[in-house]
Amino acid sequence: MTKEFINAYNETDFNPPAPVLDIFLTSPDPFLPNNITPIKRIALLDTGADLTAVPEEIAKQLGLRKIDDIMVLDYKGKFFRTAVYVVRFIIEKLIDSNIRVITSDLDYIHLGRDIINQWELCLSASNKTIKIG
Amino acid sequence: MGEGKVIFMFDINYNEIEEFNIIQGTSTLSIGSSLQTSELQNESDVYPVIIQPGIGSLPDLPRYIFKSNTAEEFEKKSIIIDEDLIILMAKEYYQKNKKEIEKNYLGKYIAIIDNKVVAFNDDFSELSKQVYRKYGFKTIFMTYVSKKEPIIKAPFPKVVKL
Repeated sequence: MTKEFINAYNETDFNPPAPVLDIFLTSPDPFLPNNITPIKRIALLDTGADLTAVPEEIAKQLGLRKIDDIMVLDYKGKFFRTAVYVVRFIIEKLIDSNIRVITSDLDYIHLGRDIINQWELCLSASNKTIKIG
Repeated sequence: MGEGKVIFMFDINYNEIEEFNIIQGTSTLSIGSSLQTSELQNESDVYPVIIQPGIGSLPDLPRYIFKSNTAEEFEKKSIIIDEDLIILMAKEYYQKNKKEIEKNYLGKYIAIIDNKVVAFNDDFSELSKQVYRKYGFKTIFMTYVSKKEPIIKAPFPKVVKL
């Protein structure tokens, strides 16, 4: 199944414009009532990131649980150790899975290659579209 | 009770408790000087503890209720402090048993609880769903078994135009 996202380049928050998707995040607690509304955030498609990162404030808000810690190499080439969490990650009609994430201080999600590499991905900056198959 | 510091159970014999006081509105238990254990040598020591369901009104908590409701938990002599320690202890177990774990689970995701691999799966999502359904949504060490510790590259520079 292929899904096309129209107007998927965000020019307001990113310069140059960046390919983004709307993502819903919620707790992976299987005993939560079904009527809990997931948190919606934009996610930057970031092929430079090995692992998806979510805003730390969302991790706190959802009460995510740590599952591991991991060594991270940042953009300055510096290493640091950080916690790994589980979050339930939803893109409508495309994905609904528990995934491993780290946290960032940014207010949007960095969608890393742990997710992106599961897809056939076609980006068109001129048409401002993202096709995912 | 501090955030992330929800559970502490003393590794002691509950029969030795001669006096205690629970401060209303918190989940802090202070125990008097009668305990002769290595963990509790200071009269002023105050530890966060988990309050067992059914204990009832905290300020009026009689000793016999405390004993009857918590005896079973104390018998287990659990020492579970916070999620960082749970992860640390599980990682220590992983490191000590690395060869055997790699032999059995290389290339898979595993979950470790109380120094035991309780579940494994090729698919992390399935593993986490299975583990949380069976053991509840709590801090559980789950990791990918590989020969080398992975290093995650997370370059997140963002140009801010003023």
